[in-house]
This record gives sequence, C-alpha cells and structure tokens, in this order.
Amino acid sequence: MGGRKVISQKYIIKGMTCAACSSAVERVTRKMDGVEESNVNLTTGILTITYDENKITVDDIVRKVDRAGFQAELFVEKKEEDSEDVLKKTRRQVICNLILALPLLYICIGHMLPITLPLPRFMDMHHHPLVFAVAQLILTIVILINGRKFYLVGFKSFFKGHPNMDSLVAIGTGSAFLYSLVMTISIPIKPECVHQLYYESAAVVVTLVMLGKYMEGQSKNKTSEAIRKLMELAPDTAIVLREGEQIEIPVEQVQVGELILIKPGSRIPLDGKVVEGNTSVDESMLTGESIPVEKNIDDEVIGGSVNYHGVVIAEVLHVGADTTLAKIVKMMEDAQGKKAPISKLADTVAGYFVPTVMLIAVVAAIVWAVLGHDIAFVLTIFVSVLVIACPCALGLATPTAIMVGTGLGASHGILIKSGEALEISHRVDAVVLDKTGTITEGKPAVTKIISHKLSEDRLLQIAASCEQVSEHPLGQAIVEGAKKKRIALEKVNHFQSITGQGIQAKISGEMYYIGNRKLCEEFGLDFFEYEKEAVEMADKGQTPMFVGCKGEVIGVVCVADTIKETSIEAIRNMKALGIEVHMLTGDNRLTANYIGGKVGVDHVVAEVLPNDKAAVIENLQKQGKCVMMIGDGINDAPALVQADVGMAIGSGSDIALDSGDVVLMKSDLRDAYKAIKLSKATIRNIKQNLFWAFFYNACGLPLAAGVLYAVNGMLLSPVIGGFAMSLSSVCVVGNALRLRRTKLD
Amino acid sequence: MAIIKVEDMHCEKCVARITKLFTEEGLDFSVDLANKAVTINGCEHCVKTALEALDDLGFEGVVE
Repeated sequence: MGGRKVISQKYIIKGMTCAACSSAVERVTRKMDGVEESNVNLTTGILTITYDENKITVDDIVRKVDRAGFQAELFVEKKEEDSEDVLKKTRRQVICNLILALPLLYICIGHMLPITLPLPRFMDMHHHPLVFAVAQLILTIVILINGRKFYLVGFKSFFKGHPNMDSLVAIGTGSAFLYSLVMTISIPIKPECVHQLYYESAAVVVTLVMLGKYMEGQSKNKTSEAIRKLMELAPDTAIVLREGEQIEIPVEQVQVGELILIKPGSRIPLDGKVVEGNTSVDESMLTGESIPVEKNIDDEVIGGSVNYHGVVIAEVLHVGADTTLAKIVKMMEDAQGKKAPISKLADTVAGYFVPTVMLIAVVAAIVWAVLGHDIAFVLTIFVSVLVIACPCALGLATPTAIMVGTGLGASHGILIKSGEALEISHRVDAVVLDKTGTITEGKPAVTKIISHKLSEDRLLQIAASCEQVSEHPLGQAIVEGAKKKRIALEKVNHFQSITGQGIQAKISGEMYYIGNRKLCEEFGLDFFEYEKEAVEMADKGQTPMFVGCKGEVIGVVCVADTIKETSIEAIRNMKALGIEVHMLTGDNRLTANYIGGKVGVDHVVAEVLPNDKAAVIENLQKQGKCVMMIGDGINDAPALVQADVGMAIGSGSDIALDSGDVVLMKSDLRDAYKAIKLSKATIRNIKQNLFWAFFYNACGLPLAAGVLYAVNGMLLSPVIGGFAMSLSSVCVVGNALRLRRTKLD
Repeated sequence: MAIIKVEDMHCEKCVARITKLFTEEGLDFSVDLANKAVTINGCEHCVKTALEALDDLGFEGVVE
C-alpha cells in the first residue's frame, strides 16, 4: 500500500481535570503506531494530533482515549474559518460572473439600444441566429454553474415547503434558461425563435444576487479573534513554591492546592486564595470595576487580573478549564453556537411571492388550456410567468440599503460590523446596559469634598499635593480633580504608600495621612466627627477617603465613578421608543440602585457574578425579547455574543470590541439610540427597495399570463423583461442612496 | 498480592479512571492515592493485566 499520508487533527477531550490527565492523554496517543505528534492543551481541552492516516483512523484514537478514561470527539474547525474560504471562493465566482455578464449583455442588448452596437457578422442574429444564441448559451452556462448554489439550496427549500429568496432565483432563472434552451434548439427549424431568448435575464439575476450576497457576507463577527485575545490574558507561566524553592513552570503543569508567588505588576496566572501577604488587584478587565480591590488573607484572586503593589502567595484553587477565564471562553463559544439565525426580510417576502407566482402560472396555464390552446402555447404562458417573476434587483435590495446604512452609521461614529446587526436592531425591545464604563465614565473622579474647618479647595490642595506621586487610581483621581479646578500643588516629600490603607506624605514640613478607616485606626486619627458623613457617602456608592493630620481627621474627599452626562438622555430616548432598559452590574445592590435610580433605568440587576451576565441575557431572550447588550469589559464579552445585538463601547477592552456586532466609537450611549433609529430607517428602506424590485416585474406578470394576448396578441417579450429589470435596479439603487440623508438625532 | 507504584497518580480523577478500567478487566484491587500505589490481589497474570491496563491509561506502573 502506498506510503504515508500524514494529517493533523484536533479533538475535544472531556473529563480532564489536572496536568496528570493531560499528560496521560498525550502518553497513550503518542504510543499508537503512526502518531507523529500529540499535544494536549489543558486550558482549552483540545488535543492536537498529527498521524499517518494509513495506519490509524479517527475511531482508533477515540477508542484509545476512551479506554484511558476520557471522552474524545473530533473537533470540527470553527465555521468562521470555513466562511473565510467560502467568501474567497464567492469573490472569485462573482468577479468571474461580472466579467462574463458584460459580453453577454453586449451581445443580446446591443441591438435593442437606440444606437445599435456593432456585432461581428458571424454572430449577427439575422444572419447567423444559431451562433448568436449558442454564444449566449455558453456564457450563461458558465455563469449558472458559478451560481449553482442557488439551485441546490433554492429547490431544496422549495420542495420542503419553505420557499425563500434562493428558491425564487432558482425557479425564475431556471425557467428562463430552460425556455431559452428550447428556443435555441428550435432555431434551425424556426429562426424567429431567436427573438425569444432570456439568457441574459437568467445570467444577470444570478450575478446580481450573488454580488449582493457577497457584499453582505463580507462583514462578519470576529468572535474567534476575541476568544484568542482572552486566552492570551493569562500568563503562560507561574512561579510555584515547591519545597521552599521558587520555580517558574508553564501554568498547565500547576496543580490545584499548590502555592504560587505573585509579584507586583504581574498578571495573576490562575484563580487562587491568598495565604500570605496583602495587595490591591486591578480586576477591571474581568469584573468591569475600575477601583482596585484590596486582597487580604483568604480573599480570592482571579487569573488574568493585574496585581498592583504587594507580593502575595496564593493557593491555587482552579486550573485548566475550571478557571474563571476559561469559563468565560467557554461561555463565549456556547453563546456563539446558541445564536439563532435571523430570518431575512427578503426571504420572508419571497416566501409569500413564490407560491403566489406559482399559483398565477398554474391558473393562467389552465385557463388557456381550457380555452383550447395547444400545449406549446400553454407551456409558453406557464414559463413566461415564472421568468418575469424573479426581479434582478431582488439581490440588490438588502445589501445596498445595508451598505448605505453602515456608511451613515460610520459617519456618526457607529461602527457596524455585521449587516445582520443592522437588520435586527430595529426589533430590539430590551436593552441591557453594563454599569461601569458604559453608563458611567469607568474611571473614578472627585465627587464631594467635606471639611468642617478648611475650605474645599484647601483640602483638595492638601490631598492632591500628597497624592501627586501616587500610582493608585484613587490618588490619581484626586490629583485630576485638583487640576480641573486649577489648584496649584505643593511640593511633597517622604511619600509612602501603605498597601490596603492609603498613603502618608509630608508637605510644608507637616505629615498628612490619606486613606480609609483602617488607616485612621492604624495611625490614631480621630475620625468621629466625619464618620456619619463618610458612611452616608459610602451608601451612595462613593469611596470616602479621610485626610488626617496631627491625630485627627481634617476632612473627607469622596471619589466615585461618575455617570456620563449623555447616559441619562440616551436612556430616556430609548424608553421613549418603548424599549425596556436594564442595568447590569457586579456592584453591590446599594450603589447599583442609587445609580440606576439616577439614570432612570427600568430594572437593576446587581451583584451579578462576572460569568453570569450572559445568563441574564439568555433569560430575557427566553421571555421572547429581542435583546441588545451594551458593555465594555471582558466580563461583558459572553453577554455581547449572547445578545441579539452586542454593542461595545469604543473605549472598552479589545476583547469586548471584537465580541460586539457594533462598536460605539465615541463611547456615547446616545449613539446606541441612534443605531436603533438607523436600523429602523434601514429596514424601512429595505422594504421600499423590495417593493421597487418587485413592482415592475409584477406589472409584467399579467402580460406574461397572456392578459393582453386576447386584445392585441401581445405576449411577454425579452424587451419588456429587460426594461422591467433595468427600471427596478435603478429605482432600488436610487432609493438606497436616499437613506444617506436620514437624520439620526 | 502485589503492590504497583503509580507515580503519576495525582488526583481523584486518576483514581476514578484506574478504578473504572480495572473493574472492567475484572481485577481484584484497591487504589491508594496518598501513597500513589495500587494493590492487586491475585495471580501473576493479574499483575500483567494491571500493568497493561495502566499503560492504556497513560500511567507507568512499577511493581514493588
């Protein structure tokens, strides 16, 4: 038997929990005769294997892994990569068809134009009708072969009883082609049949509809890109403490229960529980919360978040597929798979149009048969009706409107990545908003200054002067606040940050302390006078920071994530459209309700775990709602994918941007409202386009059915067909361009 | 009775996998995760079967 045939495949392995499991899978597969390479990624649960197909089969591998106590399943490469290939192939076919359609149109329409275009004598329709017809036949056959997908898909759904746009194209062009073919064969006997050719009609319809589909297919969601970036968030290696020694090893080899060392400024490799030291951690990438979270002994840290100041030792709680990050990846993949395909408007219209046309064709044929006409005439009538039924502007109606709509969106800073998003947004009846970074700025700012002895500006000056070298976001917020008020800062020295509490620093020879309650207790600062106010502010979701000096607190600076000015207006506008607005946050109920009440959302869902956001969306969808999700964080990514329309805030994380169908470049919520309006306008435009596409051809229907035959012997002629086609195309394109002038404000 | 050392046995999942396959093979055995060892009760032939089964599970067993 002939040689080697090495192939590479991927398998999803289920049931792996630790590094021993993945190495077991590697070991058993590597032992198989014919396997050249075998690697398991514990995080994704995927086995990549290279083997000789002549020696072993997929079944052998599955059985082998099964025997080792795991379940293996051949992993079918992501659809998206397929669609990339399909898109490239379609592109080639479209270009090929456009090139072929031009000479075809020249040959068959050239003689109908007011100024007759010259044709070589050997294919002139009067002298050599057969050459004239066969030349068209050859060009058309190639075009139809390129568009064979319409016939495969179209007839299939027609016979299943759900005719769609493809069915219409298949029936219309198919009958036009067959009719012309019969005419071509008859030419040697009846030369006047040369006037009854509809080749160009069939070819142009197929080409234009293909072009439209290609234009629509170009915009696509990049979820797989988002997933790749998500996986890169977690570091590849971790520093493990084994028998008192620090060893840096790949995270795949770390086991649950081991101790890992996390250095300041590095990303936390895996989920764990702090057993030694304290620090503050930036979890904003995962939870969306902008203010760093203090971590003390027994607190849990999430893999992928950034450690700020302290050195901590953590006991590993989850590895591989159990980590928070891996779960988010899994949820994104699930959400993507669960997305129901949307029904396109054009398909719906075709669903009604096709049976109607069939009925007209049958009735017309029966009527003429009853009236005593011969079978040839009856068939001509039947086919003519089908030929005129398929408008060539049909393929253009949706994509032209979507292209113009997308362009209009872009000029308003609304980046629409998929045409489908534009098509669904108008149906949205529930909007889910993430709080931090979407409704709010996502960055802390000074909101209130309280001091019983000093002026507000003086207290801010002291606080900002002390904090000017601080790297902590809260400190930076205070400095930012002073800058905004144009307050000059004093010189600072002896700055020291006290992890988990605050800072101390000297200005003008006086030592000041800024920080939380713990800091006051630690340094014996009397905060009794300010306690009530501080608690009040904390209830409103603000972070009060005590400023102390000489054993007592001299004031409080409150810092909080502020609401974007535009959010309130945007939410009001959405509600005016009859959309119910939900706010989703991981924050505590108190803060959430306070902010939710202020911006006027209908429902507040608080204390949502990072990986439960998608479930909230799914619940709403189960209630029959068409849900739009707007968010900016990594933890929003699965929800963005799950939602019918996912909108990412432009200032958000890359992963959110990749997961969303729409990106709001200006990070302004009012643009979400504009996007909904744009969608409504686009849908209206598509409907008008569909009307114009069908209108002229529908006018030709009675003619094809032979209504005028009784009066003056007139039947459908290619001239009328061509005229209807060009008129409908011009109207559709013109109407789509009109969309550009829509006002979105 | 023979004791087979299985160094790569780390977690409960490993124990479960060994238990499943050994039961299928009809062996009389007990698994000890703490000592990373499997005890086989029975004949010479059983130890051979056990070692082959361990090999299929991706473990290396050493008879003590």
